[in-house]
Amino acid sequence: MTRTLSTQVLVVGGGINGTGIARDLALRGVRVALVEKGELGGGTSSASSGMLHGGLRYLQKDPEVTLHSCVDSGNIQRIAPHLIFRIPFLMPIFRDDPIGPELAEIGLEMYDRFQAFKRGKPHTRLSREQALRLEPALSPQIECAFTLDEWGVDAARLCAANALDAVDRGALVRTHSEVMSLLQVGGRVTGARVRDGITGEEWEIEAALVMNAAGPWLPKVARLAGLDVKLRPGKGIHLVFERRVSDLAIYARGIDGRDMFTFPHEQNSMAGTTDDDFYGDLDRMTTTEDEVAYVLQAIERSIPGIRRHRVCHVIAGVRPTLFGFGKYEDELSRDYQVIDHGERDGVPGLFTIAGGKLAAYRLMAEDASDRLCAKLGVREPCRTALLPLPGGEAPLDVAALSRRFRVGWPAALRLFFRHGAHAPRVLEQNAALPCAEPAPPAPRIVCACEPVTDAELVHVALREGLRTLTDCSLRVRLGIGACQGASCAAAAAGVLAEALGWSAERAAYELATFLSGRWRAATPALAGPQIAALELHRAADLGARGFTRGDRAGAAGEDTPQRDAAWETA
Amino acid sequence: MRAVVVGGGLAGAAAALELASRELEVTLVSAGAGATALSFGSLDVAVPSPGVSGLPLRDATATRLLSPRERLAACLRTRPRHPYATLFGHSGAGSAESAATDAVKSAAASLDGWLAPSGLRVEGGLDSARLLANVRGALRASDFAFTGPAEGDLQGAAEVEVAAIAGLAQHDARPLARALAAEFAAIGLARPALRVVPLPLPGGFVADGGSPARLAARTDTEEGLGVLLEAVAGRHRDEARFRRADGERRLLLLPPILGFSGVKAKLARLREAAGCRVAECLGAPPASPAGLRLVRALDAALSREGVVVKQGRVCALERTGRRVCAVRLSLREGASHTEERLEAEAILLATGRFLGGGIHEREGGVHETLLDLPLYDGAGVRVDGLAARRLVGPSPEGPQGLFSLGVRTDSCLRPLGSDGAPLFENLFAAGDLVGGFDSAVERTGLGVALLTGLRAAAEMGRLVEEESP
Ligand SMILES: Cc1cc2nc3c(=O)[nH]c(=O)nc-3n(C[C@H](O)[C@H](O)[C@H](O)COP(=O)(O)OP(=O)(O)OC[C@H]3O[C@@H](n4cnc5c(N)ncnc54)[C@H](O)[C@@H]3O)c2cc1C
Ligand SMILES: Cc1cc2nc3c(=O)[nH]c(=O)nc-3n(C[C@H](O)[C@H](O)[C@H](O)COP(=O)(O)OP(=O)(O)OC[C@H]3O[C@@H](n4cnc5c(N)ncnc54)[C@H](O)[C@@H]3O)c2cc1C
Repeated sequence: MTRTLSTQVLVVGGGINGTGIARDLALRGVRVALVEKGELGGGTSSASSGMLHGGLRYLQKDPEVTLHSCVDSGNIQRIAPHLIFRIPFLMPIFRDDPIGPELAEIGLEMYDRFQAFKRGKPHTRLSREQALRLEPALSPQIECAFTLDEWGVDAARLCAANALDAVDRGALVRTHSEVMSLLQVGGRVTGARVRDGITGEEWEIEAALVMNAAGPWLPKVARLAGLDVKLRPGKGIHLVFERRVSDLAIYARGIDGRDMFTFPHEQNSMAGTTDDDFYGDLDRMTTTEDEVAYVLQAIERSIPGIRRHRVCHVIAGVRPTLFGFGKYEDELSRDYQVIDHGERDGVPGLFTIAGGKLAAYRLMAEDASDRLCAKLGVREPCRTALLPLPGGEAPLDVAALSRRFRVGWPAALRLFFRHGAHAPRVLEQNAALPCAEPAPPAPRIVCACEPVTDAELVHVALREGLRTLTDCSLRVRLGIGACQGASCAAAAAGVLAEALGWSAERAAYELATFLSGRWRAATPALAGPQIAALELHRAADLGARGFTRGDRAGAAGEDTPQRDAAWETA
Repeated sequence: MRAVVVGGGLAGAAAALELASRELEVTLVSAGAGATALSFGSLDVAVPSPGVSGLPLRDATATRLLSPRERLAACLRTRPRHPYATLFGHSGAGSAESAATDAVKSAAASLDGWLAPSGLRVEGGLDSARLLANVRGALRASDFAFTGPAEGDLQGAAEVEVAAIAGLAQHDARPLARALAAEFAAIGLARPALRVVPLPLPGGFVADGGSPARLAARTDTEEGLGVLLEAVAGRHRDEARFRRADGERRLLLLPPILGFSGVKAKLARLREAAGCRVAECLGAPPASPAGLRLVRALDAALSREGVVVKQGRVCALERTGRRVCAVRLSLREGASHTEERLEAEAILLATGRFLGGGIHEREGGVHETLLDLPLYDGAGVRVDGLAARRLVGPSPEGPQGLFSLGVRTDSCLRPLGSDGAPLFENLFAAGDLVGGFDSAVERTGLGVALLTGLRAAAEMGRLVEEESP
């Protein structure tokens, strides 16, 4: 049985571009549906460095990109202040660097002019001794160092915030829903056929316009209408350390001269990234030994002790870079394009957005939405730079939050980071639980690395449309720290099973899927002391499994949470 | 005239206790907790992981759970590289099987004797499996288990009350009960009636955030235990009367929170308060006190039996020709380190795998830590020097060279060189350091540790006696 639904704009893809566009349109009163084949942000967006940097790198070749990014970074800070964090950078200069301190400083002085747009601090120059005092882990081989200032963001959460706001304004957002084919009438694209990857249900969504925002998958979606859109997909990996290597981001240089860095990201440190042409299967991407070795080698030059730190997992993603032939990966433009296939190919009804940067998503979404609205005859102006994203409305007294709900200070702080002003609403979830005692107990810490409470899991399940356990690692960063889920995934599955009415088979499926996903993420960089951790994680997982076969379809229907009464017999 | 045991996990402790009982002078050196301290509360001799191991849990017609004896036989028959095959011979003939069963029985009895004074008993046997539930509601057809979970056999229970403790993390009674029901359906056994029963504990008894470890520590105090006893006794207070099975056929299943000592006595009092049988679930990280209980009881036994225990790390073994003659250790005392040298007639390495520290990665390859002994994986392939990440499979369930690797030994448990001959006359290995099995899959971890530890001790004893004038 196929369900049908009709809307004005169907957005394909729940990355930063798709969710940004859905929000923009919804704010203008346009009816929007967004379908995402996995989890929000689960494609390239969450595999990015999560930096709202203006792109010092692009200053020479693409100053336009630098300007866009800096201006919009400032906008994002205004609408979602809770989701971003300042990243102080340290750029060590070595004697054998091709660019000496004088030249480097000229570049940084130029970059300082853009800093004002994003509330960044101007650079400073540090002597060798000053730099080593600031960060003793630095190589003593440095000549001097510079500081500069960037901003980071939780990219997956930024996608979710955009999607949630769109939903608040009447949009329909559905994850685990893949566009399988495009509906066409007389050469015009009129919607899409969508398959629900969990229930197997098929939908037909009719739409006046379809926006292909499928990131690196966009050529595949365009091909569904027989169209050819070329990208030059560039794969990039990050190593994620189980904790902070340093509270500063530190530049490093690859053997080929490319810039890389280690940087603090939320509770972890990350190191990256690479940029290599990618020809493989986007849905089965793996990280190779070479990529890991290349990154570590680069970082080691700046931080000689880096190999003593534990890499708990690796993230790989593919940039949807605009096509260019005969250039090195790093030289390719980070600019973007909005394609009206009516104009370009004579196939009206379909648009594609390609390229760009996370940092400039709001501007890109505005541009794309302007184009769509012009087609629809909607004249409402864009308001995405003015209205706060959900949670960004007001600051919050985190100490009071911690006291009121009896959650530890670190947990309250991280909860505020993800949910901003909505944090109290999240913690009130506990009262809604079926088995809550007369006086609801304090929220329980489910994942200690992040930390994540049971209340937050219930909230994202019931109020944010979260559908699988695996999605929790993007939505609330569950199980991506030191333990890789070994000590929290089962408990989280229990909480979600309660909230969503999962059967035991479904819960077992979710748990096994989560843990094998973590295994795949953890093993490419496996080395040193991390091996004992993996031994423990695996023993914990396999040692606690029972006879029940996991079954994804074994769910009590998610749309109508249903409780299994069988075990309540007296 | 002395034996030195390196490693304080079950393998090393059992060997040292056995040597001491033979009145040999024995010193045990331990660098701290290893895998034993992390174990879940059962002593698995042969409890294959369902659906993963390829070893049978049910008979050919799938109508009956195999007895532990039958599973042990299957392991001997089909796993030629498993340490059991080294110990008892690998054959279809009954001799290996009966040697193994005899060894298991006497090993369990010895261990029980060592642990009992600490209130920790080894319960179970090879004749029939017990069905024990863990904190996630998974069932384990266990052979031996320690006091706490051991009392929780679900067979023969007509009614199971799953205790719910509000605010306790890592434990959700309702999903646990639902999972239990599914487990019984999956193995095709009739299940007891399952009820979720809230324990009326006073506010603040469970720490904010719900830490199970802090709750477990609380029940180690008389006051804390009193609160728990009261809650258990009053758990049906607010309920209308309902039909109940009699006390022996009723089981109250608690999360693993009964502290770190005196579990046997606590259970007796709880049983009285509850009016029915009481047990803990088997644990799972991070919330299982079971491993620590075992380690504490072993430590108590070691000091009772007069084993000299040194807290420190062995950094090197000295050798002359085909003999090892001394260990060098670095000892921790407060903040200071001292070096010491211990001469030995026989040395046992019971240093574990990666968690214990017996094997580690160095310069991009896995190596045995102390002597760089040759390592072989579960398929018999030599793997020392290879990078760890090349030895892992694409999913946790599949075969893993990395977690089945270890040294290969002769039947006396002396590590072998690549030529198949013992490298040293008087060097022995036991426990996780011995390769050829994957304890997470075959679930023979503590079983191997115990049996190899005892066998190594016997061989060391023989060697020392032969050589003494
Ligand atoms: C390693 C790396 C580092 C980066 N670092 C930064 C940085 O620091 N700062 C910055 O500004 N930018 C950075 N970028 C670039 C940035 O991540 C991307 O430009 C941006 O995330 C692209 O977003 P998107 O929405 O277009 O694509 P995606 O995030 O990939 O979203 C597309 C979505 O479409 C979905 N989809 C695909 N096919 C279908 C279908 N048939 N039906 C339904 N859904 C479908 C996918 O599942 C996916 O979630 C980085 C990129 C990489 C790879
Ligand atoms: C999470 C988990 C749960 C488990 N649950 C169960 C279970 O429920 N039932 C079961 O049967 N099995 C279980 N196992 C498997 C079982 O715990 C192991 O197989 C067993 O404990 C191994 O014992 P061992 O003595 O060989 O090694 P370990 O317990 O690892 O002991 C090694 C010892 O050697 C010491 N050491 C190492 N190097 C040196 C050195 N150079 N100098 C001095 N000392 C040194 C260490 O400090 C440590 O004390 C579990 C394993 C894990 C990881």
